[in-house]
Amino acid sequence: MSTPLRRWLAPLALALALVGCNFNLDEPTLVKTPRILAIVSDHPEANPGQDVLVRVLAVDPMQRELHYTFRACIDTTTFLGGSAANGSGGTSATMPMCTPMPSTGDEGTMPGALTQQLVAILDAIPASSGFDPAFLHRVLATAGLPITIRVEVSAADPMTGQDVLLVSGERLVGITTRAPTTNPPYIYFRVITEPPEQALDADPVETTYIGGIDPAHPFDCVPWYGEPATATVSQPTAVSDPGSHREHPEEWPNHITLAPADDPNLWEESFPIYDFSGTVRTGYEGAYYSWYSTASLPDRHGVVHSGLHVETTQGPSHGAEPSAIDDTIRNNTLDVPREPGTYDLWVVVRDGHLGTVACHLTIEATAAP
Amino acid sequence: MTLRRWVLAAVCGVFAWAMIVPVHASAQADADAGVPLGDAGPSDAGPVPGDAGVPPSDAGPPSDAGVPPGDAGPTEDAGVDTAPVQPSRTPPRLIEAPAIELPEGTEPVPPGSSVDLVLTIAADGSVTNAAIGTGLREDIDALVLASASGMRFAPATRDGVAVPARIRFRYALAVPEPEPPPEEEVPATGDGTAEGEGEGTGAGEGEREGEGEGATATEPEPEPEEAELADDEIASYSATGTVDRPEPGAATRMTFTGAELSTVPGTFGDPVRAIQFMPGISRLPFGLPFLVIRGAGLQNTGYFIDGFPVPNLWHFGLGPTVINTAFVERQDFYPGNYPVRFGRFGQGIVSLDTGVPYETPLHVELQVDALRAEGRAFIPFDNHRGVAAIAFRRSYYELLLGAIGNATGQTFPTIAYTDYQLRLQYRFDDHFSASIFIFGSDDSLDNSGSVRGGTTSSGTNTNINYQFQHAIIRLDWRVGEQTTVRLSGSFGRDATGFSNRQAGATPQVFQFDNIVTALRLDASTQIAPWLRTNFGVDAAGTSFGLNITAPSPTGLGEYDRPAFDPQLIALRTRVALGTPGLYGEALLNFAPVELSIGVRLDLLRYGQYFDIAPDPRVVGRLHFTDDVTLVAASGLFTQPPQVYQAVGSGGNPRLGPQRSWQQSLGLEANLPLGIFARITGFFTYMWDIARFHQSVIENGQGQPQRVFFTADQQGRSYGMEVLVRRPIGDGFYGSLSYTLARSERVNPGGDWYVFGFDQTHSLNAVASYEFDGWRFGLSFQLTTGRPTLSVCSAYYNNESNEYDPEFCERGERLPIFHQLNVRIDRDFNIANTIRGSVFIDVLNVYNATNAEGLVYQYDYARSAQVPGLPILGTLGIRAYYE
Repeated sequence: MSTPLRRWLAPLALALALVGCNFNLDEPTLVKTPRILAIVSDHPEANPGQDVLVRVLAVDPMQRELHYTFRACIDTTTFLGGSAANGSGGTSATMPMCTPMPSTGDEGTMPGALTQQLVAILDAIPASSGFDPAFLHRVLATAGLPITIRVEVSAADPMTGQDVLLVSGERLVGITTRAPTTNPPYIYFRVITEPPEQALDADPVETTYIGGIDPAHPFDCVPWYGEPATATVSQPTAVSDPGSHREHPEEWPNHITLAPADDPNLWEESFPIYDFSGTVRTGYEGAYYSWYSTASLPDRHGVVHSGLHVETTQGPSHGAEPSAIDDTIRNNTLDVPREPGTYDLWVVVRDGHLGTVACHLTIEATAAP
Repeated sequence: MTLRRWVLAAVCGVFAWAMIVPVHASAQADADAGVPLGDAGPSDAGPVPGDAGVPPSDAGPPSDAGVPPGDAGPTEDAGVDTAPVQPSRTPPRLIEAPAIELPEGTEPVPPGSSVDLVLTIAADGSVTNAAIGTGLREDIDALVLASASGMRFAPATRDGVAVPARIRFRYALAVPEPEPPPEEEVPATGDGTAEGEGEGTGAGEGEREGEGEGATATEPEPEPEEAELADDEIASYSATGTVDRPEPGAATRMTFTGAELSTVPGTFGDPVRAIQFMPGISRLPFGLPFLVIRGAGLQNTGYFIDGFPVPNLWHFGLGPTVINTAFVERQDFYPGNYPVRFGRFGQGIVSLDTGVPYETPLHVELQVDALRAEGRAFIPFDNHRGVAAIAFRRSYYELLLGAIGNATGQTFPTIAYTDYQLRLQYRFDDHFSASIFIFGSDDSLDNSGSVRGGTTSSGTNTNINYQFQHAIIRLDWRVGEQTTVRLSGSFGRDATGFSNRQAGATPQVFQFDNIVTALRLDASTQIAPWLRTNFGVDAAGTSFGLNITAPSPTGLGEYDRPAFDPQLIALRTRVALGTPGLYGEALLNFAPVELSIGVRLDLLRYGQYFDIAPDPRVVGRLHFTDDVTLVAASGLFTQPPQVYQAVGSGGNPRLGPQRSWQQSLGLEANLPLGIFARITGFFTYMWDIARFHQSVIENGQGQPQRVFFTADQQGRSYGMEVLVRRPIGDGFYGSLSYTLARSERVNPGGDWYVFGFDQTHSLNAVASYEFDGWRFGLSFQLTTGRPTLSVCSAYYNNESNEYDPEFCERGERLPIFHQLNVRIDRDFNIANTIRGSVFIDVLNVYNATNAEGLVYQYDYARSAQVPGLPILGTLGIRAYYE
């Protein structure tokens, strides 16, 4: 047998080719085009017969009126983990069965009848697949089986008036007969504003925000204890070397530190899984903070970069299982653009087991003092 | 070109070497008779055998047994100091010749009579053609001519590498005396050299056998007066590789000899890299050191040294072969339908046979250039019965790249490689020899902090390391005149590793540490004039050690997490794998038809899989004329899965082997002007190809378990290869190859799609011309761009926070790749004291902007082409003193 390294060399060569290259491609943390940033399911897991509410956090920099369509799909080929096509160019032998979901605005509902239908489908599978019913119901009672929610976001074309698809996305909803897991109850993070250069001896200003707790405005980040709803930071007074802001953030005078707050509540849940060897073990949720913004800065070559330094940080984990990460990045940094103005910041927290919560915060960059 | 400008030109390529100025210096000491090795033999050595375009023969397992220690004889340097320096050559020397016996009543021959022969001697020392030069008498001429085919020579060498030659040979006739004079104990003293440099007995055991018969006999007393080469052969010391006389058990074999290929442009002087210009080879991006042949996978090409597989054949960074090419006695490339003595690979074989000429003088050489330093020494002992050889090489790319990095602020990957060889070979007598070859190689590539492909990641670190240490012990017997036996064993360690670290994440590590033992017994015997058999045993035992810290395959009930935080598992296990194999083939010669019928049996036992794979193979040749031959081949080829695919944890222990059914039909022709042409059509059907596939099965305990690999993919590749080669002559050589091919795969229930390394058209041209001490060479490559996956749309995956692409049915391709490489050599000779050459070898002369891949935006809405290598040059000087 020959070394399997050969299969790694092609991507490695590609990676090497990226040395020093700038392909002028958009960065994922910089929101420039219509995007789906989160698809929140309440709840992320459900018992058969239970309704599921799905909300979409979508943004359109052009501020168009967005239209949403929802479908719930059961893919008997892949929901046990198969990957017939596997992205290699072939096509799957079977197509998923999809059902339109009733919706209002950015909310759709998967009726309990559909989640109940999954059980009936499972009972029908064994005859053709060789799985016995007891086996599949055992899976349903432990790990659960997923239904796929597909979302399409569209807007009217200003020329034709017809709806044009802008972006699509999907998420999974677990169906299980055990007690389902839930979403993270809220987003809890701090915005730490550095003092202006002229006042380096001043203390940083720290504001705490929480999101996902107001049913009327589920995607708003609201200040904790009556603090201002808009985070404010002053525009930098000098540009030392804008091109090096990625490697040396301290050279950029003003930036915001975004820090997941320590949460005293142990909201992370555990759940049973079958590991890849077929052994039942306990899995633990985590807390993954994904950040997006409209703030950007050009580098020395005029290439526009996102103001955010990293895409995902990890919050304090309360799970009993030690994280695989040994030097987790906890905080993110947002460089303040040169131009005064209002910028958007979104943060999405995922628990790693279908749970999602998201909110939006406005950042106001004021003129330099 | 300023440094900064160069860096800007190369910054989007892989290796920014700048203009490299290597300096090659060698020194050697001739301990014996003054026959120089190296690249600059005396130009006045008289007519010497060169590469006459005579196809070397192949008769089963190669053997170096029986090559007598030779007195190489003096090759005086007559002081010609203005002529271009010629390579070092040694003429053929007689080892043995069958005695002839005159029938009773034959008219006696006068004392001192002789017959002059013109012999063509292949690189393995056998006589492939014989003709009477100056005859004596018709009946005697006929006897001598018949005897000539049984003669065996130590072949001519050029730069230490055996080459074919044509010589004039005087066959002296003598009447036996009642008491033959005592012979020297020392076997042949090297007479029979094509240069007539010395007297010798030409004695061999065959002579004594003849004497012992006591009959009126002739005693072969070879006294070659001169070696002759045709006019078009004298100046021909560089070739692009030879398609030599067909190997009966192989549909196509392309044989290369090391020193002959050192001037191919675009290879940086590494002869083994010249394979890339052969038909059937898909071009890989950035000169990756592996071969994709006839539309098969990367893993379907086997690399062998002395019959034992090694994980890699070339170093990183457009580097040279992993063993010093001075140790490469022969290099064979089988693009498909390879002979039954090889196995366990689905498509093609590259095989290196190692050896050092016994005739070598004490030779010490040091070569230094901007990228690497290497040294080697050949030390003969016991009157050339034995040779000890040692070589070492170390690169120092990091010095150059570090300097560039310091000057420009760029961070470059660190590339380093080392290899070493130690060889001891001894010839006990003409029929038995032994050797031990210890060699190792270590490559590492570390790009800590240099990759910024992830727009929001920092501090990435990717490291690749692969190394091996092997020892091969080889015993060669020549049993009688018609049988050769080789027993060889190998013991070694292959270690490959890959680690990757993302910001804030535990490093992911893949390490494979394998202990390899293998044993081969290869035998070849001529049973009848029309029947030769090759047979043997090929047993390999490997203990595979896996140390993996990697993203955990998701269990049932687990879902994607943001890619930034893969859940890691640690897997440490050791798996034993034994794959004994047997092979046998019969080579039938019923002129004008030759037929090879063989079968190979491999026992496959690993994981929960056990099977015996019979691979029947047949090759047929129909010689329409002496110059036109039809070749047809068909055969089965079985390749076990990769170890990581078959382990119980994370793999599929029930995974079966991949199978291939290869067919080819070709027409070969020797055309006027010494041009050889071959056109070959091929079709390969592959099945049971392993692929990643996360399926769930109900395991024996009734629990759901993921199985990550299934062997259910099929493939097919078909096409046509054309090779037109002008062998060396009048200082010119050239080859033109073209491949039209298609390779496809299909998954169960899906449609056929184009294989990732498919290249519809591939055109390669190589030419070199020597004139008045200058050699001008160029190579040109034009290929269809590799297929890319066309992304029709992409949707956002809420769980992974990534976009998943949806691929179209039909893939697009990268733009056409084209590249011109140029090499110019100029020899010099300073007062017969310092000789050498100056050369420049430039890749991508006109700085074509080729695309080697695509990089996509995070949402697949846009993509950009990854540029290939920019213009890249090597300016060098090599010199030696003797």
